[in-house]
Amino acid sequence: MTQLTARTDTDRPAAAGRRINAAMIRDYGVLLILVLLFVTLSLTTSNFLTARNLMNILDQNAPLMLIALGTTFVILTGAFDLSSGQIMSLTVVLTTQFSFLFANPILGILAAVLVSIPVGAFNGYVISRFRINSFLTTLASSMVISGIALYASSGKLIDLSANQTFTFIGTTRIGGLLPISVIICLVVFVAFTVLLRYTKTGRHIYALGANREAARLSGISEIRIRTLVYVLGAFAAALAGMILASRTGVGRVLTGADAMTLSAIAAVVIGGTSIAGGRGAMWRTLVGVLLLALLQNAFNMMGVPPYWQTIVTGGVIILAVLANATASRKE
Amino acid sequence: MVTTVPSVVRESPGASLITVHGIEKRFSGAIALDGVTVDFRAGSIHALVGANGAGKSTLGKILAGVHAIDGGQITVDGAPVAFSTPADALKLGIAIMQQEIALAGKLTVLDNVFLGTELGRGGLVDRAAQRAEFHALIARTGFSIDPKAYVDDLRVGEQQQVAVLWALARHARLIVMDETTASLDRTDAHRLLDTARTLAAEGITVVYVSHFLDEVFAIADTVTILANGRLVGTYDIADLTEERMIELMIGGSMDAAFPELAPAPEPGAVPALSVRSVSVPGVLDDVTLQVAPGEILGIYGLVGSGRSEFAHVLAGALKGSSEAIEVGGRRANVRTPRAAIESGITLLPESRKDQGLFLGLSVGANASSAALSRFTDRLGFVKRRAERAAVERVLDPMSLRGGNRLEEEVGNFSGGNQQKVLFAKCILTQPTVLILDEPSRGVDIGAKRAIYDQINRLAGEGVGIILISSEQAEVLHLCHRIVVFNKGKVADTFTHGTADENRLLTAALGVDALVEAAPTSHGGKESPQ
Repeated sequence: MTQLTARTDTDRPAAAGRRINAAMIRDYGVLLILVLLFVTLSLTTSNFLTARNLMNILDQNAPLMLIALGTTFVILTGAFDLSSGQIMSLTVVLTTQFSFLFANPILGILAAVLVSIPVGAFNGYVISRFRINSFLTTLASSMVISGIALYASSGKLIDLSANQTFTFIGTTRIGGLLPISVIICLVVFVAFTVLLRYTKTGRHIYALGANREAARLSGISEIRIRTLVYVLGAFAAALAGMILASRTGVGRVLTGADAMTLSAIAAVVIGGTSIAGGRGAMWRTLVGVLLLALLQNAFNMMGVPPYWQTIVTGGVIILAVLANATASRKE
Repeated sequence: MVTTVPSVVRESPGASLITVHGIEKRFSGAIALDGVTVDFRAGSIHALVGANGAGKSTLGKILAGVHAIDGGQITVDGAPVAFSTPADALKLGIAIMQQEIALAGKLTVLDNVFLGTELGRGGLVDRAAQRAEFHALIARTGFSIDPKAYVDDLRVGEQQQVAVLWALARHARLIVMDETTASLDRTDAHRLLDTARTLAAEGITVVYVSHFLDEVFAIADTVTILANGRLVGTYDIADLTEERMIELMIGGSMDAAFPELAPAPEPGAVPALSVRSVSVPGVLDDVTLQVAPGEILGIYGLVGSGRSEFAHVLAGALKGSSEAIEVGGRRANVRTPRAAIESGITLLPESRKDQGLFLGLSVGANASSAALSRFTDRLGFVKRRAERAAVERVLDPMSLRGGNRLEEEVGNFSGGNQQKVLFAKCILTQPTVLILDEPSRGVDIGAKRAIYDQINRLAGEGVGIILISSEQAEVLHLCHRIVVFNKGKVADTFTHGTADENRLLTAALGVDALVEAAPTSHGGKESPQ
C-alpha cells in the first residue's frame, strides 16, 4: 500500500494544530493576509482600530456578506447565481410596497423576504430539471426580476424613512454600537456553517459539486439539492435587500445590483472556495468579504482615488484565482 | 515461429517503416507493456490482437505518440526517434483513429480536415484550394461526404471517414486504427475495412487494433499477438487459424495470486437477485439471470458486449425494460439510483474517477456518501461518531488505517487505495446484491489480492455478487458461475471449473458458438424461456 504524504485538509480548521508547512500557507494564506492587513491598518492609522470604525465596516458590508454567504452554496455545487443582486433589489422595492399595502411594516418586510423563496426555487429547479447552464439561466432570470422590480416601483415612490418600525433593522444599534445588520450576518453565517458542515444536506452539496455523475449514482437527488441551494442564495439576498430598504426607508430599485452579484462571487473566490465546486467553506467567504471590506476601508482612510481602488481590487481577485488554480493543478 | 509457404499470393511487403524495440510502458505502477519488439513494414495491414488488457491498444497509442514510452526504442525509417505527443508522431507521418473520435463536432467536415494545416497564405484561408484538395482526397478514398456538413450531424461511420481524410491531409504514412469498428454497425464496419484496404494499396501502412478476429482475417497481412503486456509473436496471417490465434492470445496469461473459491451458496435459498428479460434497445437483448445469496456470478464479455449497460440498468442509472427484477424475492424499484440502492442493489461503477469517487473530498466523506441516511438524525444532522465508526469498520479490514487518514482527500491516494474507499462506499449501503464493474481495473497486483479477498468476504456474509470483468483469470478463479455476454445477449453460461480461457473467449467473440452449453449450477437455474 502506497503511503501518501499528508495534505492539510482545506476546510477543517481543526487540523490547524499541525506544524506550519507549504500546504497550510496555501490553505490558510487568505486568513493570514487578512490578519496582516488588519494588524498593518491598526498600527499605521490612528482611526482604524476603533469599535465604531470596525462596526461601520461590518454594517456597510452586511448586504455583500449576506449575498456572498448565500452564493457560496451555489458555487460549491459547481454553479453560478447571477440573480442574487436583483433579488436583493426586488426585495428593497417589495418591502416598501408591501408595508404600504398591508399598512404594517413588519408584515410587509416578512412578505417581501418570503417572495425570494419561490424565485430561488424556480432558478434551481429549472437548472437541475432540464440540466441547463446555470450562468445563462440566472442571467435571464436576473433580467426578469429586475423588470419586475422596476414595474413594482413604477407607481409612486414610497418613502417610509419616517416610519421607525420600518427603519428599525437598518438603523438601530444595540448599546449604541452593534448594528442589527451585523447580528443578522452572524446568525446567517452560523446557520449556514452548521448546515454545510454538520448535515446530510451539506455533504450532498459538496458531493454534487465534486462529481455530479458520482453523486447521481450515489442516489443523491440533484434537483433537491440544487433547488435548495438557490433558495438559500435567494433568501440571503432578500435579507440583504431588507437591510438596505430599512436603512433608507425608500423603495427604489438599486442601481448597483448586478455589481453586487459579481462582488459576492469575487469574495467567495478570494476566500478560496473553488469556482468549479466541491471545495470550500463558509468561513472562507467570511474572510473574503472582510478582506475586500478592509481594503476599501484602507483606501478610503488613505484617500486613494476610487479608480485605484477598483484596479487594486481587480488585481486581488486575479491573484486569488491564480492561487486557486495553481493549488488545484498540483494535485 | 513456424513459417509455411503462404497460401495466398500478396504484394510483397515493403521496407521497414517503424520499429519498436523492447518497449516498456507502465500505468501508475502496473505494467502495460513489457519488452515488446515489433517491426511495422510500409504498406502492410498489421493487426494487433490480444485479449482485454493485453496491451494492444497501448502499443497502438505509443506508435501514434499518445502515450510516451518508459523504456525501449522507437525507430522510424531506421533512425531513432523520441516522440511524446501525437503532434510529434504526426510530423513523422503517423496518425491515429480512436474509438472516441477527436474531431471538432461543431465545425464542418472541410474545416475539420484542414484544422491546423489550413491551406492559404498570410493567415488567410484559401477555401477554394481546400475544396480542391478535399475532392482529390475523396477521389483517392472513394468516400462520399459533404464537405459542408457539420461533423456532429454525421453518423459515427462517416465521422471516421472524416478522421481518415484528416490523417491523409496531414500526409500520414501510417494510420493506427484503434478498435474503430467497435462502435459501428455492420455496413459501416465493412466500409471501414474497405478503406483500410484502399489505404494499404496506396502504400499507407495500417495498424489495425481489434479483437474482432473475423475482421483481422479479412484484411490483415501481418498479425502481432500480445498477452498480458508481453509479445507472443508476429505472424504472417496465412500461418494462422482462428483456433491457433485464440490459443496464442491466451498463451501468455498469468494468474495473479487468487484466493480459494468462496464457499458454494446454500442450495434452494431465495435468490438475492432474479432478473427476467432485461433489454435496452440496441444494447441489451433479453437478459435473464439469477444470483443466489453468497454466490459470485461472473459476467465476461468484450468491450461493447453490454455488460456495463446491464449493470447500469440494475443500478437505476440507465433506463431499460424488464419483465421482472426481484431482490431477495421482492420486486425491486430501479427507476433511479437512489431507488435501486434502497431496494438493495448497489453498483461499484467502472470508472472510479468519473462515476465512483469525489476525488476532492475526504476518505470519510466518500465512504459514507451513498449511505448517509443511515447516519443522520431526524433533524438532518450527520451523526459523526456513528458515521466514523461505521467507516472504520469497513475500511479497517482493508488495511487503510483510520485516524487522520479519514480526513485526507481521496485524490491523494493510489488507485488501489481509492478502490478500497469505493468498496467501503458500496458496502456501507448494506447491499443485498453488489454489482462490481471492473473492480480491479488500474490497481497493482497487491491491491488486487486485497480486493479479491474482500469480494470473497462479502460473499461469505451472504451478499449476492455480480463480478463484471474483462480479465478471464478473474472470473475463472473467483466466480461460482460465469455468464458470457456477446452483443447484448447471454452467449453462454459456465459453472466454476467447466470453463477455460479458450471457451470464454470463443463465446465472447461469438465465433463458432458451438461450444456445448454447460449445465448450470444449483444456485442459478436459468428460468426456461
